[in-house]
Amino acid sequence: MRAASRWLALAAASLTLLGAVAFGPAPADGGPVPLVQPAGWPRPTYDATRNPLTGAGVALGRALFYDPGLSRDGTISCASCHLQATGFTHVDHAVSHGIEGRLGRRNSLALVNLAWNPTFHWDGGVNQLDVQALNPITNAAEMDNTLAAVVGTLTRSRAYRGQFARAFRGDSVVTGQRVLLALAQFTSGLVSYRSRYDKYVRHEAGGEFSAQELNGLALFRANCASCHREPLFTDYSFQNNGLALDSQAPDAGRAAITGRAADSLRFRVPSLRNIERTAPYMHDGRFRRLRDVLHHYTAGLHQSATLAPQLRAPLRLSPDEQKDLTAFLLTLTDHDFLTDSRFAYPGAGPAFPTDPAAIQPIPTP
Amino acid sequence: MPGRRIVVQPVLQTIPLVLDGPAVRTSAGDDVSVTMLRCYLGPLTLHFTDGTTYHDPAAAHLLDLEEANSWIIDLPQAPAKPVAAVAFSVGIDSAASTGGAQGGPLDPALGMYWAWQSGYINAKIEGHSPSRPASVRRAFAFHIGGYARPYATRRPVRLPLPTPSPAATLTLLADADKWLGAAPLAQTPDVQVPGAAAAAQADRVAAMFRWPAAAAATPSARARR
Repeated sequence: MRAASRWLALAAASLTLLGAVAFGPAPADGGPVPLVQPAGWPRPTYDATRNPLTGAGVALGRALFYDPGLSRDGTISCASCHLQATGFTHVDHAVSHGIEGRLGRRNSLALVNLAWNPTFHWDGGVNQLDVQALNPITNAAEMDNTLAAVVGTLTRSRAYRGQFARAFRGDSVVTGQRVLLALAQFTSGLVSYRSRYDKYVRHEAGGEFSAQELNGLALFRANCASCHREPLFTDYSFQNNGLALDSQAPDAGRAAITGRAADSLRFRVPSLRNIERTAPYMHDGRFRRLRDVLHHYTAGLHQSATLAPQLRAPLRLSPDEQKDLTAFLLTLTDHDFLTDSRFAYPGAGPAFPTDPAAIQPIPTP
Repeated sequence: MPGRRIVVQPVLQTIPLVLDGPAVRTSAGDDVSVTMLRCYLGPLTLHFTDGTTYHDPAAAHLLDLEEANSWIIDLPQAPAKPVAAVAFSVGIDSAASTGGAQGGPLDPALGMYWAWQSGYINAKIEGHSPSRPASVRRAFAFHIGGYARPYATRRPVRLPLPTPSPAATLTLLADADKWLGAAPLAQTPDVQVPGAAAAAQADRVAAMFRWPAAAAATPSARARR
């Protein structure tokens, strides 16, 4: 009893500290919800004044995120390649399959803390969260659809028109802009800030580190944090991290966007949050296990002209140090995020409303 | 109707440009049939002979060969004074290209926004020509965009009228020959990414706009980078 009330007091204190939690409690009236601003984090880059978050907007974005009706043949949703339980990426898939089993080119990125991203995708070609969703919708290897066709499909659904009206000040008209804004309302709220690591740095209950994890954190800060910068575990730069070019699937990365030779083979530095769940790793998903990744940085770096300066020499980590570093990386798993019911499949959703008349009472024996 | 109306007439040299119409020969010697032409104009500015101006409140205008009405731009609040020049940009400004999902004429559902590299496509022209090998459907396609320096593709255009006009309706030409006829298709049949080639194409897109020869004693269209 005493322990429970102490826990409640701690929880209340951490709420105050954070100011707001994820989207905040979903208001029953669908009204405004704040974007989470965890203590000690920078301000989000996403300009929510342009797209004010509301309960109704987030609910609509969530319904769209889980709706395979966005794809040309109705088989693939955003969640097909971005599963909550695996940190909103596609576990066990080096590259993902879109409609008709078509294979993509790059590893599905984990959707996490997107409101802090200055750019999107492995090559940074997308400059705003709103317009990111154009890619999966229109890419031939993903949903192979057009935004205009998505607008048409949604307009034909009375339930969706109702949801658009609730999300956009009573106006039920479906537009491409509104589809994108609603999706961004949902995805901007996918904030992971409740891992054991976060509790450790905030000195919260549940944030105790073992000696091994503490040593792993020290090793991380000495060897990895210059690019995987805390607390978001990326500095949002593009780097060549020494992966040998795949001759069967050559990919210039950032250079394809900037046209600069200096950007050849550079890719986004991904966040490491929930890394325990987000395998396989790298832009082409070539490494299945964390130990493969550590082997790469300690013994597998491929030299080339644009290799990141920090990786000119391999990392020097003994087998024990690699175990400690791995133990630390596992503290980045945010179970609250991975199981948060507000991010989960919303059920049959508004496209398929339950008809009360169709529900038959169960006959009693 | 009070105010002013600007009508843009799509042509190829002197021949009205028709979607999927019969092939027309360009100045570069290619017989072309156009299957798509879309072009963004930014807000218009009317310059009057008394030195005043009128600024069009629209965010942008999307001219689309599939939508005849899209080539008519009404400015109901514009005063009825003699117009000395009409100015506009060909293409969308960079603030819109970096400002997330926009609405109205800038809605990404209109197919004029790139997915893989954020930013508006300022102009698109597609079609086919016997100059192109059969193996690629004899197709040509130019999707011109890109907002980042040094390859920005938005172009300001200012068209002084040869004689100031008090007319309610002013008619401009958009001559696709200035775009497609600038170089043989055998040389460049396809530009669909931002870069130096797109920037060169953007000059040609802007050069399409001029007053009809009857109204213009000398060609007065000027396009600047």
